[in-house]
Amino acid sequence: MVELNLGLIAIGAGIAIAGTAFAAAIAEKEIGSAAVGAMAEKEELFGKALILTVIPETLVIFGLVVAIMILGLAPAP
Amino acid sequence: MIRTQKMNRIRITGPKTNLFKLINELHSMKLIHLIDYKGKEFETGNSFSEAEIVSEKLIKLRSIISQLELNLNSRLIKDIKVCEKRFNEVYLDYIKLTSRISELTEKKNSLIYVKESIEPLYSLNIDSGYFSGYDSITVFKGTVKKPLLEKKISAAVKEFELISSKYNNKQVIALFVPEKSKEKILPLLSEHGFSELNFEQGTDLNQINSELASIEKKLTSFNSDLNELKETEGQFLVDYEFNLEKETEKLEAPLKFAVTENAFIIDGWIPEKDAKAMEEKLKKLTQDKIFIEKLKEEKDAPTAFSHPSLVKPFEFFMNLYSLPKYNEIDPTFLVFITFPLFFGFMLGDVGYGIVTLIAFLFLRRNMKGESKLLLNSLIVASLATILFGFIFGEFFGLEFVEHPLLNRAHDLNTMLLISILVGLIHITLGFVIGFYNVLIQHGLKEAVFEKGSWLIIELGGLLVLSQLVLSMTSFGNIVGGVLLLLGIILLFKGEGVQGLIELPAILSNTLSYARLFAVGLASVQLALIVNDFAAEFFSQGGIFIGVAIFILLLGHFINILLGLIGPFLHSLRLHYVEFFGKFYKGGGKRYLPFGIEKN
Repeated sequence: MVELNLGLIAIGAGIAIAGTAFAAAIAEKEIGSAAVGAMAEKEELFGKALILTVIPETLVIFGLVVAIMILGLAPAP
Repeated sequence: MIRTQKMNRIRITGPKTNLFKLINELHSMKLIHLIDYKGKEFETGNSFSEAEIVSEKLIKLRSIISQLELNLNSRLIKDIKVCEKRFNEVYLDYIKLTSRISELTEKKNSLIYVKESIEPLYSLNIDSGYFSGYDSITVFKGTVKKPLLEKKISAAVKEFELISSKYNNKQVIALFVPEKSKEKILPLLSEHGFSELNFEQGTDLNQINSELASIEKKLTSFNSDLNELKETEGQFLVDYEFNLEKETEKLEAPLKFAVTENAFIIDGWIPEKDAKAMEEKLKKLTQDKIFIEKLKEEKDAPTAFSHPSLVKPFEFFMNLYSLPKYNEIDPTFLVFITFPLFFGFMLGDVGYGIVTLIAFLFLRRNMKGESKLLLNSLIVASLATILFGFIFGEFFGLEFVEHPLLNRAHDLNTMLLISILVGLIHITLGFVIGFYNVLIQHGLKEAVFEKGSWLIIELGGLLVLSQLVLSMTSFGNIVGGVLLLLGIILLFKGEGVQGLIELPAILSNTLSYARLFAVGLASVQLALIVNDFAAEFFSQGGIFIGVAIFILLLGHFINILLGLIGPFLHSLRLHYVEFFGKFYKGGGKRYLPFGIEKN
């Protein structure tokens, strides 16, 4: 049964990453297209546009932290 | 270095007789950042009368330059008097050549048109004399879209003569019918998409061909003349344009000044370190006939960086974001320290560092301006990558040290902790700078409310955490809780509800630094996979060694590309969002002294 638990832990960690990655991707898609639109009007906005676009990336980082915490539940090999 | 250059606002007043001399001097000094006069007390000046002539010349010059597609670097010409004569000659030559060329081209095109209309008829092999000169016969000559068959014609008219041939996939026909049957044949012809070709009496294909050849010859000779002109005079033209542009700048400068009937006022900013020397020089030039007034003002002063050459490349990141205002901290130096460290921490591989270093050095050779700045800063970053590569003991993913200082592929928890700690320090630094910024702009009270509150909250939070999670202290909860409450109250007083809404942001900002190790982890894992994959093939020997080498090259190439984009963007983001968000306002005006080259 140990293997099953380990597998569930791994799946949990995977879901944490995958879910947050999807969320970040959806958010960045919206922001990115708007940012490109704004930059077409005013090119100097690149710096600000970049920042706004990458803000949701933090979501994946949270996912990663959670994933590492979940992996910490696994028994030492 | 931490502040932008100190500026002085000066106002130069003097009689108009000295104006041009003064403008000339200011233009060559390249020091004063002019302020347009927008007041209502005086009028703004007019440009000098020569301005119109010069700009007319510039228009001519620019049209030649764009026609010749000159793409050269311009230089300053010393003796501008000689240029005028030379330019007039070049201009005349150019006009003569281009008008001849366009004349000949026009002639050539009309000949080609004639040729195209008669050439198909020549394919019929009939003497051109037979096409006309009949009383009772009508001739239809031309092309048809659908093949015209004799059978069909004979159904319409009894007597006819059809000669046809093929020319460029089209059927060419010459149809001779009696004048009286003309009406009957017309519908048939239009049904077949007949289009008439004209044949003027006396046109001769051979003659046209020889004429075309001679025109072509002349055209090539003129074109080579034009190319020669481009070769010999191109550089001169570009240089002259550059000089005339400077000239117009000077001639049109009075548009920015306030003037009265006999006097002028020039208003502008100059760096404090140059102020004295400039003042003396100008007074000497005008024999003390001008008055220079120093204003005690700092509002809206332009931003001029002053960095040693090592830090200078990092101005790129400020240009990309927004220039610092005159009265705030210029964070370029801090970016210079932390950007390469973050980048190196993420990429951290001796091999990758060396490859990217070589690539950047190679790319840098042909770069100018902003892209050169960027590459120079990336060179510093790849040096940091090599340094961290040694700390992590990694060379293209291979762990070449048994027990490196830090093993980032396995010591995940340590790496996470380091990342968060770095984030904490970075954010605290941001708040401290923010405190200072608000202090010099608005005073101590505001600084404590707006930025000090955050520092207190941070400290309180840390104390609580230290007891709750690490149980390092026994008093953390109480003291920390009090500090937290105090900080929140201060924040509420300083920034209102908006500040309270932003409270959780401090946690997410700190956690955001976890990307420092996350990006690196992805990069090192990818490298490990590539290496393992290649090792499989290596162990099989023989021809598979070639495959293994290919996998190594491709895999690491892709990983380096990813490794450049990821760490660059993430490091940049940590600065722009997490760090700058704590103190940076931006929106400064660039210091653009009168006379400086605009690129």
